[in-house]
Amino acid sequence: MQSKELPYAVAYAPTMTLREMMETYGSDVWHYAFFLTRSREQANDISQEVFLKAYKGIGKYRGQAALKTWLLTITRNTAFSFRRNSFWRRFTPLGDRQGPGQAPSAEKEAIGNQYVSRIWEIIMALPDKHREVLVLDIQQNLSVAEMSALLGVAQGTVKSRLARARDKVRTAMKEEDL
Amino acid sequence: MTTGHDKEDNTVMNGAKDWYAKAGRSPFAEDGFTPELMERIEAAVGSRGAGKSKFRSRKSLGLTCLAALLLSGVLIWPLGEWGKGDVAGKLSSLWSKTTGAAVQPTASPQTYNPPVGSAEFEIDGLKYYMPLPLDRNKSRAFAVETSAGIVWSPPPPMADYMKPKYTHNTEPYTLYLTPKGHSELSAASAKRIYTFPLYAGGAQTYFDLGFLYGAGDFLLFSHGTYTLGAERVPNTGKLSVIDLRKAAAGEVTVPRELQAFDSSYTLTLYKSFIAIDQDREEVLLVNYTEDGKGGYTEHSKLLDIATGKSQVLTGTITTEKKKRPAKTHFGAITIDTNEDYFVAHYELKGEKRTVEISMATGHQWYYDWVYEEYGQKIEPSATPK
Repeated sequence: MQSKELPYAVAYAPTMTLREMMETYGSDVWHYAFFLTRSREQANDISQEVFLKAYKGIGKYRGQAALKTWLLTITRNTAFSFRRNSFWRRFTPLGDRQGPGQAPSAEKEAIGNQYVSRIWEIIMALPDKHREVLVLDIQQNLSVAEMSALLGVAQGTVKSRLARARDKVRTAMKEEDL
Repeated sequence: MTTGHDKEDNTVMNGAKDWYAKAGRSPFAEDGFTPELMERIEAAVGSRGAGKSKFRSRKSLGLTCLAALLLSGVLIWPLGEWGKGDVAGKLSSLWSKTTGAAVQPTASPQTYNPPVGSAEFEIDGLKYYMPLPLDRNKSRAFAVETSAGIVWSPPPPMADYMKPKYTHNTEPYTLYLTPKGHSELSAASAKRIYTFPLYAGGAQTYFDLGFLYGAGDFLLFSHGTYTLGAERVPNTGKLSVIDLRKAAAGEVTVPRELQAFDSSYTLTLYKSFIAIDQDREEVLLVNYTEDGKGGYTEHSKLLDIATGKSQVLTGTITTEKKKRPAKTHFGAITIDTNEDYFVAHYELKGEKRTVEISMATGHQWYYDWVYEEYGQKIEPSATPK
């Protein structure tokens, strides 16, 4: 089963202008990058890199996957590349911290609804592998098969990660009486 | 809201729909993919010859914006080595001979109102901002806590950042000292403690400042050089130290080299690491070499920051993963969570010691993280050294 991909977007992807591609998928790419990196700046940089790669490499898009899934795959690889580079080339402190005394303070985001805010706080606090599948499901509306292809893991693994992620969110919500 | 696999996986969806629907697609009130970002991407495409449809390899796809370029690690860890000559003399010739006491904390609480473009930091629960022009790369803005105050370095202006191998700073790196709690990190309200040379051994060779790390009364920093148009030698450079007591007192001082890393130093092999012991003011360097049998041989050295003296440790060093409470910032809110950190256990003259690992430099740390988080094994040969 495929997600609700716009059929015309796939059919006409090679002839889409860059702006059309960004207007259609920019938000998806940016949000996925943000939830992988937890960084607005990196999400910006990764989005730029993704659309540059996509624009240059659109000829490599064969249409087997939805265009969005293809872009999200590039997003994931780019985000991992950023992270890998930071691991091996710089003296990167371990963990999620960006460095002792070097963590940027909170970005100023307007999140109005406290209930929604709290749910996303809980999601953001999940381990990477659980956060990722939940975001792909809630936000990107991908099917299990698409997530499986994107993440390079078995569909059963996707389901179990998704179930575990939901359990964790539900448990946290119960504990807070949300 | 429905999800892509509602029908195929109803069992795991039970009870999930309510909060799924309420969570919505995004926690943000405004889309992060802004029109400005779109324009930036279009500008980057234009600068790369958008009319050409020829696919460029990943390697050749240099990131256009400086922030991305630096994130890729090109400049993060100073590459190359000092040119021949009197390094200390070069540095001391540029030493700022200011005098007077260290900047004193302001009596009144600071208003936290960072202007647009500021780099922001949170150190020991206090917020700081470094006002910067919009063309600066904030990922290269550093601020660390030391006993003398907050030592910080703003990213210098850069030129030719669209040209790989030719990107260079046009002003030298400078270190400043600002009292703890003084939220604005600006030169106007700080004490300048050191200005590094812009050039290092030639008109085409530049000094490069890497990572700052506070260690009590000392500032540790990595540095190196790069030459325009030349390939950089990865993971080479030097670790040096500045005595902040002297700097804060206005005394003339120069950075002192603590450790040089040349291309033969296997800084990125296996689970090499650097641990900075702030209490003992020591640096533990651990690196590995291949033993020719598919394994690794451990090498370790303990450096005394104050004296620069080193001693080789003979015993085996073990590492241990631990967790501690931490705060993760997300949007305007802060999440209480746990973070992983690693410690190293070693023995010195019969004394068992434990020190937190400050910098994981070996590739294996990354491979382990990927495996733990994503269940994916990465072959070491798949990544460049």
